[in-house]
Amino acid sequence: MLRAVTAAALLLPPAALPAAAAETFPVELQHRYGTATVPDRPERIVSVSFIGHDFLLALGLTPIALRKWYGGEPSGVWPWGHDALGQARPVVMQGELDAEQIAALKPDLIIGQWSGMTGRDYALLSRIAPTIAPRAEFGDYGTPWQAMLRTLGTATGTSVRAEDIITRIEGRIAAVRAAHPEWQGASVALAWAGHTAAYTSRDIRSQLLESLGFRVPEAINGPGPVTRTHVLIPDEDPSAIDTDVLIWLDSGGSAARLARMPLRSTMRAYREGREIHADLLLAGALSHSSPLSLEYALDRLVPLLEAAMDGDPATPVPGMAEAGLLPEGF
Amino acid sequence: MTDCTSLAPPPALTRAGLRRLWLAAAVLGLAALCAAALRLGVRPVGWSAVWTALTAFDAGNADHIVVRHMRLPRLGGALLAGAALGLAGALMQGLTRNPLADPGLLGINGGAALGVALCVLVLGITDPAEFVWMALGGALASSVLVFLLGGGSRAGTLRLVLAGAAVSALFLALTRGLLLVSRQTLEVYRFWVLGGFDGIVPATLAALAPFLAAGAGLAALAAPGLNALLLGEDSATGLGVRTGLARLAAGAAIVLLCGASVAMAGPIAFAGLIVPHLARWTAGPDMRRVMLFSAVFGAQLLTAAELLGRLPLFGGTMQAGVMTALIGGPVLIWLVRRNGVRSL
Repeated sequence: MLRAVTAAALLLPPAALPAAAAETFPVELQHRYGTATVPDRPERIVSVSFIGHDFLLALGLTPIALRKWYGGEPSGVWPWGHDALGQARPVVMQGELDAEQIAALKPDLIIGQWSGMTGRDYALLSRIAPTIAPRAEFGDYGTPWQAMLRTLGTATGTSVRAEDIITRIEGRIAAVRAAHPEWQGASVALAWAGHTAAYTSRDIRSQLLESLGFRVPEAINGPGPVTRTHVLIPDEDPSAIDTDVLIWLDSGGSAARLARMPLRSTMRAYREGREIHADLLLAGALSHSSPLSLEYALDRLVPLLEAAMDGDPATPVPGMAEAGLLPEGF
Repeated sequence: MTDCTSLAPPPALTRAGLRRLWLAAAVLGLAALCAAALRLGVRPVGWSAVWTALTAFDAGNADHIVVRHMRLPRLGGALLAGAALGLAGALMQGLTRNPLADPGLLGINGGAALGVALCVLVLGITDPAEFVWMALGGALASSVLVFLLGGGSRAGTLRLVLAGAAVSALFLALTRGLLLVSRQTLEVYRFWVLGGFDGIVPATLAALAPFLAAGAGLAALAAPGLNALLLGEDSATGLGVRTGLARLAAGAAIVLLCGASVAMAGPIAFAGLIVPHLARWTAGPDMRRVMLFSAVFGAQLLTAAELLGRLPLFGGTMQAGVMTALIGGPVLIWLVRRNGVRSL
């Protein structure tokens, strides 16, 4: 019943929507630096969040400026966002926050839930336009995608669409989870090669894997502040990341370092073919963890997880051979 | 009243004898540090496993892999870079007769940093083993530029140091500009700039060894001339020393030693500054001895820094360049307090 109502609402143009409570303005949003009051439906949104533009595009909105994170896309938007971006070319901001440049754009909303903005940044930005910082409990880079999308839906008058996206993606995740009972409780590690670092349960990348039933082991989560999203893994002892599935995130060029990693050959994950090499695009999709990139990540990751979780090196995980990372003898 | 004279060294021990004792103790200390560097770390490895890893290596044994493929190359890197930086610091201070001179002064670190940043940004190479050549190229290019700006073969000390400071400032500004443009470059750079031996592979050591050997050879050639130069330009010329040639050899040695060590381990601060002071304090003013002691003390300092950074106390992942400053700072203060810093 509820789903039918949501679907019907989506078919109508926004103006024809009944005045639901969430779609009225002004709205007030609590965050770590205080309250942002959005007086009216925003038209000129600046995203200073490294992944925020993906969320806006998913909601059918195009920011007037976005913050480029990494990767080779001149537009700053990765392939999963290209269709939604269309011909629009928002201003691409790089490097440190430039309040002067942002002020010149005359925004009526600044979003920055995944920006690392400091209290000082917020004090400057919030004088230009209502500014949304992350909520205190999530830390700088720990806001779950659902919470981020809900906040943005409220701030931009697109709550209905936000809820529909959440329902759709959570439904898809639940279906994948139900189809793979063997994944429930299996251990997973997401790690960068080189200066090996692994993500804790607090990180948005780990959250996707945990929603599929995997768990990040205590050896990675460890004691420490709850806002800690990653830990360094000493080269001499990689046992913490020797999990049922080990996902190597590649920022470009990491495969060569992985192939040279001295203790990799002694790990169970290596011997049993339980490693996944997430190339630049897949690692990027996991790192963005946005409504757009999650769909892309699930498309590619699910078959890889199936191949890795069989624990049989005779069925190599796709992509490992291309990266030159297959165990010896395969 | 106690007899104060009993605290003085026994008369039988001459200054030369004392120096030999110091050197022997330093070499023994270095050997002990090397053994500790192979033995200690996040993963507990016993003495017998260290020994069998070196003598009867088993490719399937994790302990052996750690000793042979991780600790040994890092130790090699620390020994080579430490000796090179100590030697280069001694040459630099002798050449400029400035006790604050440091290998970073000639623009070498700035050039290497720009090389690394360009490598990541333009070529997309993020592997330290691959950008070592760009770092070396940048270091050599910037030092040639400093040499030309500093007046070529007739380079005066002050002009050379000024040119070095100017080129360093320019290259570091360019590097910062590149880092602002690319977040990916920043990620790679911020590890590189701390300095350390994490990603070092034997092939890198082998590739850079000839540069270091050539630098050490040139340093030995330059030593007698530098000794004479310490008496002053006119006296040296009066003694028949070809000062220009000695300067040229010392300059080339500094460039080779620093260029190769910064390419190998990133810009490691302090070693080149502090080690020659320790060396002069124990070895006296003769440049040949100062250089020898500097090489041994430099190797000691970086081996100790590398080892301490890997101990569980620091999470097992602290960069050697950070530890060098942590060790070097207090030692420098102690030296100054003891009035051990000698004028040149």
